[in-house]
Amino acid sequence: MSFPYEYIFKYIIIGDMGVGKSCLLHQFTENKFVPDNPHTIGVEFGTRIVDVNNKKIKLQIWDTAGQERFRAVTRSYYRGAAGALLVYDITRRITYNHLTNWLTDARNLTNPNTVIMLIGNKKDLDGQRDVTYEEASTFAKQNGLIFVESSAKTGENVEEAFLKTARLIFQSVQEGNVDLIPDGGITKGNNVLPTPPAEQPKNCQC
Amino acid sequence: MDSTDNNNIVPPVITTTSTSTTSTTTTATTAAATTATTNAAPSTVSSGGATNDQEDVGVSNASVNESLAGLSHHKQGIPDGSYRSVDVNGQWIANKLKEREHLYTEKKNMTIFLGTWNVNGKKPQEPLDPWLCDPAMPLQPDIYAIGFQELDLTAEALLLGDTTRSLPWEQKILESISNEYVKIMSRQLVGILLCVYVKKEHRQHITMERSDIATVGIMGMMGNKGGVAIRFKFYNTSICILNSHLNAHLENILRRNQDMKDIAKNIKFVVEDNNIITMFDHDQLFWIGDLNYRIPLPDAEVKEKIKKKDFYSLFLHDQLYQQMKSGAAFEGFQEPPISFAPTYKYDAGTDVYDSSEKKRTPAWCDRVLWKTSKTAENVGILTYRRHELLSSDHRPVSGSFIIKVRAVIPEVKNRIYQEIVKELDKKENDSMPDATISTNLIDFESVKFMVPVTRTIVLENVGQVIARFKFIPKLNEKILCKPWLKISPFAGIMLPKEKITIELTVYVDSTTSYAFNVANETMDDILILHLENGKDYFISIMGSWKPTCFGNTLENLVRYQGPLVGTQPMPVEQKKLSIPKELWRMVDSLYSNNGMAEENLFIVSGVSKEIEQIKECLDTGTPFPAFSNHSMAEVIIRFLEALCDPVIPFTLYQQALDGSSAVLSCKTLVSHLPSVNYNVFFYLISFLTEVLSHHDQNSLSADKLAIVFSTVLLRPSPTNSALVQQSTDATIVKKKADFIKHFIHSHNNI
Ligand SMILES: Nc1nc2c(ncn2[C@@H]2O[C@H](COP(=O)(O)OP(=O)(O)O)[C@@H](O)[C@H]2O)c(=O)[nH]1
Ligand SMILES: [Mg+2]
Repeated sequence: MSFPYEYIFKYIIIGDMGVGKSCLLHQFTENKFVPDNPHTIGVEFGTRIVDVNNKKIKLQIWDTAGQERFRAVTRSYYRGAAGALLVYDITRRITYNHLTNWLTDARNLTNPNTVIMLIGNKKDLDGQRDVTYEEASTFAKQNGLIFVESSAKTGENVEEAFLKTARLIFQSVQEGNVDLIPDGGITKGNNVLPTPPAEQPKNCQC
Repeated sequence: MDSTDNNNIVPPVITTTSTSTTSTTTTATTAAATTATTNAAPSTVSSGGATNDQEDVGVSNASVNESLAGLSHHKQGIPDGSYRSVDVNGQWIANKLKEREHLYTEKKNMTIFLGTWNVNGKKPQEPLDPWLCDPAMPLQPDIYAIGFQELDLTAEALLLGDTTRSLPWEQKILESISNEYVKIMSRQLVGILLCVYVKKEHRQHITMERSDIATVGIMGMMGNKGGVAIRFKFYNTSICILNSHLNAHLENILRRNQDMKDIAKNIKFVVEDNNIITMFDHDQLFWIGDLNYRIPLPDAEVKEKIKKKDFYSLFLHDQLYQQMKSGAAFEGFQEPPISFAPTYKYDAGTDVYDSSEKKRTPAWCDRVLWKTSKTAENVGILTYRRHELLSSDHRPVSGSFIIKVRAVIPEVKNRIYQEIVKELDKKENDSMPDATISTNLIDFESVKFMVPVTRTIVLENVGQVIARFKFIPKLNEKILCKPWLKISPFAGIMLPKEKITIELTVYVDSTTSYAFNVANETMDDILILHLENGKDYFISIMGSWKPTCFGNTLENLVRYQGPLVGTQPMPVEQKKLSIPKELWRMVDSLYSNNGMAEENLFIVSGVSKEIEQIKECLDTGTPFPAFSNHSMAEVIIRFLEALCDPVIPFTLYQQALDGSSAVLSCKTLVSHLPSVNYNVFFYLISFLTEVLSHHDQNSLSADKLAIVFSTVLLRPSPTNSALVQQSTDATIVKKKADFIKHFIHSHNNI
């Protein structure tokens, strides 16, 4: 017997409001498209256990609010992310134009080993495309990001985006680039030893 | 009670890199092994056909709690371990996988051939084809298990454990069974040899091959009699084969029975997770060999029946049959019906039963038995035959059977495994607390000085578990919210479906008004409402603040030439008003309204509606409506009282009290006031002196006015609670009044 996973990776999903961050999360964790999610006003979580190189890895995904006015507050959630999914909407150029701001935050607030993946979402709406694949691909290259176009609606490339990021993080772990510290967003699943509480829970009946 | 439940599980802080994991991993493995042992025990005892691949998966409470712990945000957010609702035990995935075994396995018929031959110490002479490749065999076996006895009767074999004699026999076997087969294993005990072969295509489905031996020979130690066992798992089916040579001679029935039991007891295998199992812990157990049971009938009678092929009536006398029937040995074993002549004892190289002096009566010494565990599907009999190889005094025997195995369809199993993991994910996602919040935006609209406004948020637990919530500070902040906002309650707990109303109250007083009146901050904030182990909600707070002279500073007010509403303050370096015009307007209006003559001015309270109107007019610059002098007098007091820093600043409060008895020290203190404060102070003193000059109409005294005004001009800082407390003591009240009185009197005297 072993624990169901060996590592926990923390991800954050960032990008403008309405680009499909919450839909990507739901598509990935529940395999379904929830078209009219209420706007995320705050931070939500989802988890999923995935296989990377035959290792079970638990992804813990933090979906953040994209509104500008929460920007300052959302920043506090970047810390300790092993992966950052930077999302824009291929049908709304403005969301693409804002990428540099998001990227700056991501770079400043995460550690240098954090894997940043650029995702052009709503690939299914190709007819309304406002940002070409080539353009975004060039942007990604210039900024050293991995890039994929996805659709949270059809599910296309959603798995890939999350898994590719996990593989790169895992590679980093194996190469010893990443410290296994919770702050690095990577924890080793089976390193968990019950430790006495630092502070006794009030309702402890032991 | 489950100890993990009560323990606080805190994620480990691994401070070093991978190297540090060794020790912890060991601990984890030990713990895991313990679990597996306990769990595996019952399943191996029952030796069920359901024994399946023990997947190396599982979930522990510890790991789930740990993962939840990881969700916490900010340092203080690490859950306190009181989270109890997760009920995912370590076996969850493994159990689910087992439950669905039928979905990802298919039944397959496999053929096993078991051969036994006592070779009487002979070396191989003839090809084994008639035995191993009998054309009567309907199917090519998937597994061959071939047992010999008396393979080696030399003293070397017995005493030195020399096993070289087996090699030519194995060579001979390979010549017969073709190169489609590979050896799984062979094991020898003196003259007893067991070799198992499998078709190459199945090799990867043979796992956990083990062997063991048991001796029951001379003195129960030496291996001239005994058994050799090989066990393995074939697909999901565990198979054990035992080849034995039991003690000889007609009369030794009980000895043979005991041999059988001793062997059965002594054969042990160490399998998965260090579990020790016996022969009986297998789905299919085959017992072959020279069991040496005889037929206790006169030699002639036996030979007569053999001649007539009356094997049935002969068999009724067979010792083994009798022993099995009575339950004295081989309990639970079965044997295919015998339809061949006894295989012992021949004159070697001939078809003639023993012609020597001893004239041993023919017997079915060489047998193939099987026992299927209760939980497995019984085998199907294909053949049970003897074969005409003549070189020994025994004829070889074989039994072949059909075994039903469950073969895993890897793609399907993988798919189902993924599904189960997803279910677990879902379960875990569902076991996160969830709540809905009635609004994310609280607008207090127009907020006035010292007028509390309350709005509510309703939080409802829509998750399946208890939800604990608390407001948490933003990154790099220590406070939950701005000082002008109160949250009640700021933390709490909700059962599923329960609602809780949280009150948010904005209240701006002179301790917090500075931000809006002087520093021009807007009334905005974002609160983070954190669900323990769950999501965070952002709540935007807004309100509008109109600048007002209440809760302002003298310094700031003198920069406004016009009303506060709608006028920009003059730059700091420019010439300022000598006193706030609001104060002047109020004092002036009292003069013009014949306020000096008003009885008990500053003692009697005003009318609150008028007071509100006056305040409004002060800030907007509009003329005062009709008012009573008492209302105006009260606004003057309120104005002074609301100043963020009083006319005699907080920093001089103690000094003022200490010197209150000495005129000189009071005057020195005042002379050092900032110029605006100094101006205001003397403006008020002149005014009070003027008021006192009307004392026959207003019946006021210096004492009365000094007490009233000293409380607002000479105040302790609200942050110094000790001073605030004392400020109403009679002696302090007197000191404060004394301070003011020095000035009123001295003015009078001038
Ligand atoms: N056609 C299409 N619509 C999408 C896709 N992803 C999200 N949406 C829609 O975009 C809107 C915003 O999605 P949401 O996930 O709430 O965006 P968020 O603010 O970034 O979390 C919703 O109306 C979704 O239905 C997609 O891949 N294709
Ligand atoms: Mg969202």
